[in-house]
Amino acid sequence: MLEHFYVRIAEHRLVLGTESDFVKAFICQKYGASLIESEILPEADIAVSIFDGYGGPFVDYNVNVTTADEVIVYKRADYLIEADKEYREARIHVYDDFALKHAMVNLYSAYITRKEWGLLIHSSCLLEHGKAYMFAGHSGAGKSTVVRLSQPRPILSDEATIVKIAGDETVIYNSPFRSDTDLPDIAGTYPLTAIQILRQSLDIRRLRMGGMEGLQQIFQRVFYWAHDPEETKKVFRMCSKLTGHVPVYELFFQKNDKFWEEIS
Amino acid sequence: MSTQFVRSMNVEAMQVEEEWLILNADQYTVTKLNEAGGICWALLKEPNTIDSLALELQKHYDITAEEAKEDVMTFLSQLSQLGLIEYAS
Repeated sequence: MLEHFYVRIAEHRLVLGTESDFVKAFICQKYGASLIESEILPEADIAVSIFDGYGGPFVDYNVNVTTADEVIVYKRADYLIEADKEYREARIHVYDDFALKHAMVNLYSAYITRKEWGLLIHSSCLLEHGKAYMFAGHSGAGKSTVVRLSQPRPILSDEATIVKIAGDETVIYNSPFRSDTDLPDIAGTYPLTAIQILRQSLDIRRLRMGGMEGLQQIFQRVFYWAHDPEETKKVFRMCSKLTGHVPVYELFFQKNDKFWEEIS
Repeated sequence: MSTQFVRSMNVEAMQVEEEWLILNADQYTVTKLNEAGGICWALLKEPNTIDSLALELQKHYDITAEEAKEDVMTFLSQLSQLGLIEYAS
């Protein structure tokens, strides 16, 4: 029996329908989904039906994207997404909860890119005195270390940061797309004040990056699966706006919390 | 008549200070151009020949006609390999 759940991500309303027990458990725990008891479903920005029993275990991150007849299909060994071009309605088929986690990132990122609303960026993001600070870097550079060392500062994201880029405003929303931390109850938006590209080092210093380097750094860290040149241009334009609004720094840091003295 | 070159479709360019970043939206690659490259890129919005680009470079830099032409040819060949320009028909 299909049950429906309501989820709010940033300013978007999602209605998720599923029969699968592990899917229900996952979305309630990770996204704070609540069961819709009424027979009339609330209005949704994205309506998603989720099915289990698809494919096999995770093989690699390669996603094959195809479009035909107004339907876009993202396919990986362990998940399949079928959506209309506006991403208003989607069907997700998954092998397990790991696949579901990645499929949801894929779908949400595609949706906010399509609307040119904002970006999902591979990074962690922390709150200090009402301002958001983003930390990005290659795997192993220290994104999760930064999160751990920054306690008790509120954690807006530990893996995929939701950035809204509108006009002159670049703000961060609490992200449910997490790896190590539980979803805290942080409502509202926070201005993104600085982006740090992490470099492990023996000393602590912060250098402002050139606009060009900053843009390249951000562009390569967007969760985005290229399939349509027009969508790719949107990603590029939004990265350019973002780095126009927010300074990007190279942060050399040791594994201690002294870096906060440098950046805030 | 000399061959003319122009920016490819599906290319988007951003100018940051004196430099340019060019996106190839088909291949999801970005290429950085320096100031001299940016001067040529700005002109390549319209079809241009090697000679017209070289002439423009000579206006900005203290180089000979041969040097300018050689630089332009190297530059165009690199852009072409990256799929950023094409022959204008």
